[in-house]
Amino acid sequence: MKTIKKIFFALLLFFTVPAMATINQQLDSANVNYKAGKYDKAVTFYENILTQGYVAPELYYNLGNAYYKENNFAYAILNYERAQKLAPNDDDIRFNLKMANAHITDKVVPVPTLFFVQWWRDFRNHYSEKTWSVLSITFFSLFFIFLALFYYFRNAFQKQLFFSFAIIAIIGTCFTFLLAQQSYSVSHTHNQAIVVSPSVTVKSSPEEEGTQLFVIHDGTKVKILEKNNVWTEIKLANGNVGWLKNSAIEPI
Amino acid sequence: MKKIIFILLFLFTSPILWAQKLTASASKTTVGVGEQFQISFSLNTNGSNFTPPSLSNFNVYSGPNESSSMQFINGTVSQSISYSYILAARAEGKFTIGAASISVNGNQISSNPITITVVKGNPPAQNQNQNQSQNQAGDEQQASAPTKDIAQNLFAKTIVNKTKVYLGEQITVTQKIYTRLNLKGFQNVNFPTYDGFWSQDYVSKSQIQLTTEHYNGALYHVAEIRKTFIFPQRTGTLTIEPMSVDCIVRERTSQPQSIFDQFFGGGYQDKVYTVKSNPITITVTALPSKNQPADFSGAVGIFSMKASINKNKVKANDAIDLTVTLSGGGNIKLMDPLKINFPPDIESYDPKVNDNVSVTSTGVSGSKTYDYLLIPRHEGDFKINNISFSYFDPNQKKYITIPAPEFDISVAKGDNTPSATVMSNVDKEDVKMIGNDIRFLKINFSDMTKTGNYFFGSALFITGMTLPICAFFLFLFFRKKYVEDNNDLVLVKSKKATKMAKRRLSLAEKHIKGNNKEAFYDEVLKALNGYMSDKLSIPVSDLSKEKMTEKLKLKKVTDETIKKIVQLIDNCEYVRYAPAAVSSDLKTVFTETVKLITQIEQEM
Repeated sequence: MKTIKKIFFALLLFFTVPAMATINQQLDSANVNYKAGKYDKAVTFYENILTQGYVAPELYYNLGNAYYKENNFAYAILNYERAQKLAPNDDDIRFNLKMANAHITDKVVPVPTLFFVQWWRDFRNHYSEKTWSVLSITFFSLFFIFLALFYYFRNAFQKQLFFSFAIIAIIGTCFTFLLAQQSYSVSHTHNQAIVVSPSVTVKSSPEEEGTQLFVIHDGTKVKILEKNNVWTEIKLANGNVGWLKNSAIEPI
Repeated sequence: MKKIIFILLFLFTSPILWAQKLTASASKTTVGVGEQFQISFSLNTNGSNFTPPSLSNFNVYSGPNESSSMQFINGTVSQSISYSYILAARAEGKFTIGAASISVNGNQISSNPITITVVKGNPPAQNQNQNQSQNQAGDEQQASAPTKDIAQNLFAKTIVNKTKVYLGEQITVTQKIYTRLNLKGFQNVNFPTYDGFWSQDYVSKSQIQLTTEHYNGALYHVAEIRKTFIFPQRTGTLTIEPMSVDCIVRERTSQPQSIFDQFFGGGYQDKVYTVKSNPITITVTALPSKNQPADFSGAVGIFSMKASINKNKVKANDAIDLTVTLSGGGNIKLMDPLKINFPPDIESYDPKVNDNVSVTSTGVSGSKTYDYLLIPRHEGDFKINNISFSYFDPNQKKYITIPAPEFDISVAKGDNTPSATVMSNVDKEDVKMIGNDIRFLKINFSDMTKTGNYFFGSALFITGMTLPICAFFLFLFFRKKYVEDNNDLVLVKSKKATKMAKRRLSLAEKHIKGNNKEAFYDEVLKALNGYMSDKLSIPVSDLSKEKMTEKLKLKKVTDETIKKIVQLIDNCEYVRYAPAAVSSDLKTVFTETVKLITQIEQEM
């Protein structure tokens, strides 16, 4: 058994280490280019790592920085948003996203969300999907431990105590499971997008002849409601809804 | 004209060589219609029978006026005669005054012909004036000028050195009065307000002086009454309004005013004429926005900059003086104050600005001195390297930036005297925001995962969720088994008691193998005593068989068991004195003892 494990790990190392090494090299050269002010080259390196299927909030963040320095604010925002999706609680990402958003043309006043919805969101964003999942498992385990203790003790007081603990633990489980599930669906689904075309006219229907409703510019964040092969129905933060071509936006 | 000068030069330098010569000369070769001028024929010796040339194209106002002179130089007598005419042209064109002739010692001498160009200009002179001026035509030309048409003989002009300028570029404006009259003075001088310009007048120290100037082919006396340097303040087409001056002109009157006037050569009258200059349009273009330096503050001209610092090694809270001097010519007074960004940890105050601007005949120039007081509040090495000054050079049509030298300031720790400044130094400072930029790259990566790697819903997650359930059911299963085992309470109790008894008799058990009878019984006794003392809460010192029996009876232990215990204890005690009297089958005794303790446990 032990030898099998050893062989397995050796094989794992053999396959993954060289791949990781080249990724780290690419990351290093991207960072070096960034520091030297060659932002376009840095962008190419970061994008290259992404195309190989690797993801990290820091990677998106650095790519966003490179785009920002190139004054490509739409793509900077896009990558900051992607980074924020993976690390909702990162202060640096939030700060730079705010900086990039100061440069865009459209000023969309969002429809105010109810204060407890906002609280719930902020609370959820406090930890990642992974943390919530782990917490959920922990609470679930605790629930059964308390239940077992409830069975074990004969003393009425002890029984009451552990029964209460078990109730708290099962509530905690439901709560954290819900949060984990929401975080997962938020980061898993791509229902938000950033406008990347400099100027887009939003139509009332998914066709060229549709009535022109309003014009939005690059860097604006939109919500994706529906999508077909050519057209996407979007919703602005201020509640306006319309159709635009898929090529005009880039999902987060 | 050159010819005449040449001839005259010849005449004066070599009178002996060219002994006899009749020279014709004119006061002007270019005259206006009606303008008076003088022609003269001079002979450097004595002559007679002067025959004048034909002057049919001209009005002869006076002449021939003959004058002769005689000189004795080094014993040589030289004599000269001149005949002069005052003429005025009748019409435009080129006219040649032919040769005049004179006979000298019987020889006929002819003069050179003179060509007079008559241009359009002054109309024919006024008659009444002409009569009077005729007498003095030679020496007082000015007064003889016609006054009827004042505009021709007295006018004001505004002259600028350029009409297309950049915003802020210096323009020289000269206000001049042109006259051919006997100008006595000015009054009510109204200078333009120079709307849209900033103006600096050049104040001449000397009085207004008359100069002569040719204008439109005529000679004028010119009075420069004001020189102003103006700097346009806005772009577009700006107009310099005309200047108006009342000129006092002295004119001869036809009738003497009084006997005194007549006596004192009078017969003059002062008349006032108002003259107005021409308006001038200036086209002002904006400074090029291309390549405009960031520190450009509107200076146009040519400037230089000097910067100095009084010390570069100070203690914290000591003052440093930084002096920046800008000097040059241009709109120096209008410049925005110099903006210097000092290191944020150095306290700087608004500079003391000293203007030293003077207006000379060539333009506005001078210097501007900025005195900065700097107080470094913290120790450290600081560098002041961003003092630079940019100006626009209108001649080169480009911006020029003068960089100032760098100053390195090293600040040592200040004296820690309990002064007010030091006290204030203790106060916490807000962190000053100097710039605004995004935060730097993240170098340390938490972990790099392949796309779409989520923990929620993964196999590990599901395992993590199901594991507690499995563990709980396992617990339930064992718990059930445990409870079933515990149902036979007697069995459980005896099991427990036996375990306990065996534990207490563990030392005795050791002596069974060695068949050490005395030691074995001793240990058994000790164990029994200890057990009883623990169970019945009687200290070992007080432990007696009677007390033990009493207590055991209270705990409802059967008499039979008590009897057995007492017997066992007795046996243990006997061993010491009569080893043979007790059983030597140690193993049996051991099991009996264990059984006994178990029984007591169950009964109690």
